[in-house]
Amino acid sequence: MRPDPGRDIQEAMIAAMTLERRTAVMTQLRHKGMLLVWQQSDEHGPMTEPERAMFLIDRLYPEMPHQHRAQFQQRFTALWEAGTWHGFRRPPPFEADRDR
Amino acid sequence: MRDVLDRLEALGVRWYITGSEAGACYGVLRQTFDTDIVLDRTPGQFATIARAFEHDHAVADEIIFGDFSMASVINRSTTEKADLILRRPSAWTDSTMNRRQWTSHPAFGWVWVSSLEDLLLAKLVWSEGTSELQLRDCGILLRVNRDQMDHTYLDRWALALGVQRLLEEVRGAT
Repeated sequence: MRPDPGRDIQEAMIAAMTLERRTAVMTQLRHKGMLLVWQQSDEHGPMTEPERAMFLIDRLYPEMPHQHRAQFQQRFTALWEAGTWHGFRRPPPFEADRDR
Repeated sequence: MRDVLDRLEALGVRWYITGSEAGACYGVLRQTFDTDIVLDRTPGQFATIARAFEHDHAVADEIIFGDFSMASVINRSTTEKADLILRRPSAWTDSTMNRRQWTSHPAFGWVWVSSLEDLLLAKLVWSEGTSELQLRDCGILLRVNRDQMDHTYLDRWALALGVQRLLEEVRGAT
């Protein structure tokens, strides 16, 4: 493995956190990442909801097996065409951003 | 994610969280958006579980990978994804389920999480000796939790799972 003192320091800081703090940070990172991906979809321009679904899924879950991706694409398209699904709900703004 | 876990409980399925979410409990922080959940069901048994999710999730069927399978569900509102892992029965899979830890999580509430040792063993197996990220996580788990780690259990199952050499390499690097 490559020597990386910066990463070692970062890992030590993370390890020193309490369990509650660590899992809270992970939850915050996840939320911020979701908002970022939604922002990317806004910047991409108009899409149908099934297209947006796959745009989001491809960025949130890049390691998803091809077979699963194909099934999700088929499911969301079918739900959309049947009128039983109208798209994903955008996550609420991050608390710290809301206070600014 | 809570609704996925509650639904598994309602079905009488025993489960625990593994992967990055479990890693965060033991000192490893990785940004991922999905949650890995191991179920006490064997490959080929997902169909009955899938029905419990079909009205508000998109469901992707099991893919068999050797001695385990993986299905996925995505919440139709929130985009949250859970990967549901079904393992072929073995003494180790029984042991992992029996040793799971009941842990408070800020977002999910009280959850079952893989034990420290079983998470490390799973990462060694997943790494297949080549994933630098998984092996690095193993090193952190060992360094950060050295005093809490049950090394006798770890050695016993590393030998049984064929990852003893990898474990020694990770130990040597920490």
